[in-house]
Amino acid sequence: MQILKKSVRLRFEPEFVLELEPSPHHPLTTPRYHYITISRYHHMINHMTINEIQDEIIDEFSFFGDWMEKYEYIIDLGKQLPLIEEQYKDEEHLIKGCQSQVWLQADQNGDQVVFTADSDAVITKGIIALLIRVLSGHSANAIADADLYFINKIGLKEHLSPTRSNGLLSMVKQMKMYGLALQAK
Amino acid sequence: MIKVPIAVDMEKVRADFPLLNREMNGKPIVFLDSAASSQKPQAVIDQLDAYYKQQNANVHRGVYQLSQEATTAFEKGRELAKSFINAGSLKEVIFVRGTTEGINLVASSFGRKFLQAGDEVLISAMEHHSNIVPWQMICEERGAKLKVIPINEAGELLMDEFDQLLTEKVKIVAVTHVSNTLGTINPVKEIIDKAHQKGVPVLIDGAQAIPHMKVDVQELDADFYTFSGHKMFGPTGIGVLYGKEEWLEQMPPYHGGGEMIETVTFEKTTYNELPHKFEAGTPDISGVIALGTAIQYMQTIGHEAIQEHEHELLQYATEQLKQIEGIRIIGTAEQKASVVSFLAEGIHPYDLGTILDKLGIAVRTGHHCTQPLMDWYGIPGTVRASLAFYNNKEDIDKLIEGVKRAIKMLG
Repeated sequence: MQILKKSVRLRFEPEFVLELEPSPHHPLTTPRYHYITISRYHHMINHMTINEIQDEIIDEFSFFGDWMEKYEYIIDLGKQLPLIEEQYKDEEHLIKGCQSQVWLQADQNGDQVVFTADSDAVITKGIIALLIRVLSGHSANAIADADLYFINKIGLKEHLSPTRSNGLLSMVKQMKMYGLALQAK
Repeated sequence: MIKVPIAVDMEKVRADFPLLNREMNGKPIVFLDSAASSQKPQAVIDQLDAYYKQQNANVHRGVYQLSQEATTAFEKGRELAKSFINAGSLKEVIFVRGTTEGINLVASSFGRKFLQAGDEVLISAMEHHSNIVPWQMICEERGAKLKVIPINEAGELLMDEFDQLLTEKVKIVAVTHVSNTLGTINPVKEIIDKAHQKGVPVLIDGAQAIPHMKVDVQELDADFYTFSGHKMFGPTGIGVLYGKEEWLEQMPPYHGGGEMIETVTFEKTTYNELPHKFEAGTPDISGVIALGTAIQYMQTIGHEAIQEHEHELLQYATEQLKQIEGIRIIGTAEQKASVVSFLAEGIHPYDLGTILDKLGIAVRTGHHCTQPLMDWYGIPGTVRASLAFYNNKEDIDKLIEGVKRAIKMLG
């Protein structure tokens, strides 16, 4: 893996631009980075499998010393990513949670399903960014069958518990439903 | 009976609550969610234990000694509840599962008997869902309308509007004594007096008042007053509905079953006397007995000491929060009890609550089951810190420190 010393910008014409920058939470000597996308179609570059991405995230999170670092990173993800276009933040795309709200939009691109989502709470949004990184840009089959073990492994299980009622669990269910529905087509 | 410890020093009182010794997320717990459910003193826990070890038997039916003992202990719970709220008679003290069931009982039973098409039920803008939905359900069934007393920005009822809304169409008024979201203490005596001038009965949701202040239902002249045991240091699953005998006698039973009958034939059943008419099935025997212990426990500390201590803490918390830049207090009524709701500018309550949780601080975030109230303020919810007499200044200091830290992370 390439070590990034400064931001780089990768252009995949015509649909998306990908920006990579060193993660502020890791020393530059470690091969860690996170990406900020400008286009919502960045997910299409997923050449890794769902499990490979999950393992990558688990590996990234293993470098955090305590919960503060972990949450700062999630908050960062939540703040930086423009996840959904405003037009989709409507009733139709809304997943109501008791605590926070989530909007989810699914597009089909060839045999890939591309998700965009958003939330009114930044921690929820940061976790959404991770879920999208894992699930978006894969086949309906792969999404429907995905076992999202990374959430447990990185210690964010509580955010996907039904009692938390932040819309995340419903969002994951909804994403899988899209997968199932498209699989059936 | 378990002996209730005599305690006046609030730090000693705190030591009576074993749960407060535990940790949350690796930090000593700062419990500021008593408005959702309070912690239990050792005396209540011991009472539950003792009941199941030594007294457990069904009540009211047994000829054997054990059942009689259980019945005596159970009915002692009713006596304690009666004196706690100064009810006029034991017939007026009905055991329910909690405030929600108390309101559902009245809405359903009173509604079926007294509500007609075109009638109105008057509630307030700051009601908990449990004092909205049961009324909506019965209104829909009976073709009646739900009307709402509005509030001002501070979270106080607009009493002029109340006067206007109190027309001859209104058949019952149902308001909360203390708001679970804002902490507002409503002028329930004034509401009751005004309603009575028009012959309208009033139900008071006392869930948030009873753990914090002396309630005298006869002095208030409330027609119905209901509260939950678990918010006043008793067990979950037990609550009290006080109702004036004159109303309860006229109302049909709510649930059918054992205990509430006098004679049953397949043709006709006659109902038992009050309060049993409204207590179908085996009651929460251990809950009633331990609720009695919670009442004795509170009486030992004394309402004055409780109120004074909590008022001081609430003032302190409010002042400290106000000093943090970007904090907005939701609910600034003149008369408040034990609840401070707030928002940090640009920060979602869920995010703030999540960080506080990681710091070992238990607060509630969200709409607190008062969605219409949140809509009125145009906010998704609040962060709510709610107090009980076992809280101390150190808890508040930790909250303030936690809020500052969370704002730094999230802002």
